[in-house]
Amino acid sequence: MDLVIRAVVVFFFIFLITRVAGRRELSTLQPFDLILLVVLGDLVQQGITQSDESVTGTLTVISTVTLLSVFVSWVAFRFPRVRPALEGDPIVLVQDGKPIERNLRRERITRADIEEEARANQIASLEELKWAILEDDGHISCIPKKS
Amino acid sequence: MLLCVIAVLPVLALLNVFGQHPSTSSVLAPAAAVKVTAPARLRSGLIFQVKVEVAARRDIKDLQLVFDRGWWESMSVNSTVPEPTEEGSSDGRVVFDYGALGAGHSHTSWLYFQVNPTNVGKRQENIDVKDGGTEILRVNRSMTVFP
Repeated sequence: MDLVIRAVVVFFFIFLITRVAGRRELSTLQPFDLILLVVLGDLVQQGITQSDESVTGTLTVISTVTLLSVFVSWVAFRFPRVRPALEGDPIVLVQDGKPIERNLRRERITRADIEEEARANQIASLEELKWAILEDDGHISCIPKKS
Repeated sequence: MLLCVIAVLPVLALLNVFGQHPSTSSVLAPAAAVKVTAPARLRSGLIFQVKVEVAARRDIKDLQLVFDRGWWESMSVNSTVPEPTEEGSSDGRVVFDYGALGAGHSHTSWLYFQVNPTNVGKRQENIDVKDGGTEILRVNRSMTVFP
């Protein structure tokens, strides 16, 4: 019983952390972030299973986390009003070549970050962008102006 | 349908099918009343507590607790509080001797175990309460360890 309760608590805490940390940080993992992720996984394991070394415990935790994950995506699908809180909304970073500073500050994204993404999409400068949009999964979609 | 299959394990775990919630067994005899609190179901690796409470209803000259071998088989013993004045073995069972216990007084023993990963299956874990060599009562218990 304790195992399931601990798994539920940790699942929702990690869910909260990912919402607070920001989608951009999570989508562009630097070496330090990667190591931190592994350390986090180890800490989470200790918290959930503690001294449990059983296959039964492992299967129970995996099943619980899977169910919770399905539940969260079902809630997002079933209740569209809750969806932004669960998955976030796309955020416009550049409109008609002009960066929207308030959104950049909020997501801690620099102009250089957008320029980098633009270059990756064969777009030379911000001025050539119609839209740059930060998507739910943390990647930036770049849409060029029609030439 | 597959989700229901996945949900089976967490539901069973919440119903304490895989342990580790403790249960109490009580036995009353003319000479003493005894309560044993311990988990009846466990998983490998778990650390757990066993509490044996003996309330004397008449003078007991030499209180002995006799534990079935199931308590000790493939278990790591972390500690026993209080330490018995004497320890012995009787037909493969472990005898703890605690000395005299006056009528109206009680004695509580705490034992701390950890389940070894190789320990799987069901075991008898009865406890006999004796006055010297004379049996006062028996607490019948069993423990199931899930892999």
